[in-house]
Amino acid sequence: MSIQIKSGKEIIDEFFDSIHRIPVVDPKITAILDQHHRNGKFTATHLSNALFKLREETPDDSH
Amino acid sequence: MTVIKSLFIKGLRGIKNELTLLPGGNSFIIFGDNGSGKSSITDTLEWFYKNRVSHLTGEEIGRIGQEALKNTLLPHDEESFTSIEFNDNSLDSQKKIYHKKNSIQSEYSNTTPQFLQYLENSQKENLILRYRDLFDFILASKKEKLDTLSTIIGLSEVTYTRDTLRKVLGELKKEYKMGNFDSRISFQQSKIIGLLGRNINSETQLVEAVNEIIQSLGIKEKIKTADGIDDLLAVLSKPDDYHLLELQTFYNKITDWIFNLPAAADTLDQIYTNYYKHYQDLANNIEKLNKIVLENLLTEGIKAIKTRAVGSDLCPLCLQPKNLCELLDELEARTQELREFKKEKIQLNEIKKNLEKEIKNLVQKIDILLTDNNMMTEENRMVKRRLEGFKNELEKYSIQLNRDISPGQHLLPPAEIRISCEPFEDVRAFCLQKQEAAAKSKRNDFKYDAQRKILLSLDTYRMIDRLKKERDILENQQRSMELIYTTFLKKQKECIDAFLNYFSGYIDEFYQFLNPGERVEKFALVPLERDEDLVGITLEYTFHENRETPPQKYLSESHLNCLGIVFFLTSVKAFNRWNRFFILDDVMSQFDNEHADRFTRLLFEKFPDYQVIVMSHEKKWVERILDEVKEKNWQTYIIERDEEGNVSLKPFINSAG
Repeated sequence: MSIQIKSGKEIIDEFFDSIHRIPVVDPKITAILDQHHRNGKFTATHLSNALFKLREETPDDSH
Repeated sequence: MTVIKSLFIKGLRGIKNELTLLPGGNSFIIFGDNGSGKSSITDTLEWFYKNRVSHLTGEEIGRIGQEALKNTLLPHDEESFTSIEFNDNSLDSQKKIYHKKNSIQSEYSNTTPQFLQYLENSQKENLILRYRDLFDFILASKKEKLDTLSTIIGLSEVTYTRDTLRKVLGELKKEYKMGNFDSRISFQQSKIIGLLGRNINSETQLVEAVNEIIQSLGIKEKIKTADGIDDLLAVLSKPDDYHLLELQTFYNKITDWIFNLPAAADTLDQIYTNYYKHYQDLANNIEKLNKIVLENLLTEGIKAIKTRAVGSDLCPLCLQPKNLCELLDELEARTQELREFKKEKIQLNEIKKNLEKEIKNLVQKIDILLTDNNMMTEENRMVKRRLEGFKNELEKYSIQLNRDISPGQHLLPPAEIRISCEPFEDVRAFCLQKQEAAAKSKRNDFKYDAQRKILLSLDTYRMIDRLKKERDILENQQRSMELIYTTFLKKQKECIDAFLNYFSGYIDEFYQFLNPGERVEKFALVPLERDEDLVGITLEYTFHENRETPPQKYLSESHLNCLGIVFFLTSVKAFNRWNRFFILDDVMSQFDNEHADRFTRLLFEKFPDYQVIVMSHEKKWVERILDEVKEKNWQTYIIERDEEGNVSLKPFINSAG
């Protein structure tokens, strides 16, 4: 593919490579998204479950 | 990037004997009359890269058209193959077909990971343009244009990622709304005020309030943290009081549960109302819904028309005489309608799953309460019965969800199964009464009263703390997902705009090159969006100062032909990364001399570093450009077939001298 334009895969890969640089975003959430993308498990169900698990795991003293 | 150094074909399509082509990486033109074997070379190359020949695929000749590949005159036991040598010799490979157990198999001689990767990458590239494919993109619907480009650049992956992010964000928002946090927190706060006579917003305030209570009991020790309250209660508690306090906590849990009921019942009602609406919409079109199974058949029909699988003006499905253009429009409209129904059915299933999840959550909470030891006592039998009754009420929803739309089963309207929370007022009153009675029985027992207040305040404080944490964590996740989603949307838009601009620029440049000064200009691929969704792409252009779409509205067949070639060449520029060659098979049939000559110059000027392979039956065109192509190191051949079916290639010699 030409240098000027990007394939869908490139758009997505670039996005996930830079996702941790989005300001004010919880790094644990970016890690979940990135990990699911890399493991080929990027589905709404898997992600919602992972976020639910993260909410359950968040220690009590976080508040 | 890869170019072809040599090509050997034997026993494939119209080529019986071995045919050798040695372009050495240079461009070449093969001239031949119809049926001479030009397209057999194109078919063979397509099969080598894509493992199919698009115009040979079909139910009768197989999915990849392999059965029609082998030359019919070749003896059964002789191998059919093509061998290609590239500028990068690590990619050289032969691909052959052979008979094995009554089926035709194929295999590559090169099985290195490098070659297999090259093959996979090449499958996504635009390598071949045939005359029959010229109009495909130009005459395609807006959605088909989008689908074509989406497939090429993998836009569907982008759309999928965006939809997934949006769905996850939507789930978080829904979760937050259903959490009903503010109302639940304020209910718990009102309970603390009732117990301690003041609001408690921090652990320090709770510790202070508890220390004041124990001070009034004459205890000098002070607690420092909320956790210290547990130790204090263990010291204060007498065995007789223990059961009473446990009962107080039990009633507290029941009143909490009753407080949350209206919101939970509302959620169920909202989801069910939505489910009912979708169900009814689909049930009213039950005939169409049942026809979803026809979608594949109609799609095959469309494919058959587009690939001209049957004779002209015959419906490929019923073989009755039909106007194919009208039939194509009709089939596409019907397919689109069925797809919409399919989408709605999927949506209905998603709502169903959502409702099932909510019911399951509620049942789990009730079951936890029902297994409490205090629920088993005679005095709490009424509470138990009512909770079990509520659980049974939930069954009404489950029964509706199990109804099947296809046989025409009807659903009960939401109003008929809505769960009323009013009957629980008496349960709430009973619990409060029990709590008050217990307090009254210990009216003069200051120690018990202190314990009760401390225990219930601690429970309530912990509940508030948990709710706040739950709320904050959800808010944090929601905020993060919102930012991630908007960043993704921005990136998606930037990339699609860049792609469309780039693509439009080349389409316009090449079209102007072929048709200068015709007042048809500024071609642009324009995205069509609906609710942040890219739903189609249209091709706009200026026709005598007016913006117009689609191209077939004003452009002649030869100009549409031009546009088809231009689209292919733009795709080559934009997308081909691994291969530096492309094949044009008889694409100039509609061109007059002027257009054909401009097209030649376009190839020379815009694709000087590509290996261009042209198949043509336009002898005069080849003769006209012969000297020029030779100067540019292009090779020219004439392909001929003898009476025995053998095909040969000879250098093209200008018959005009």
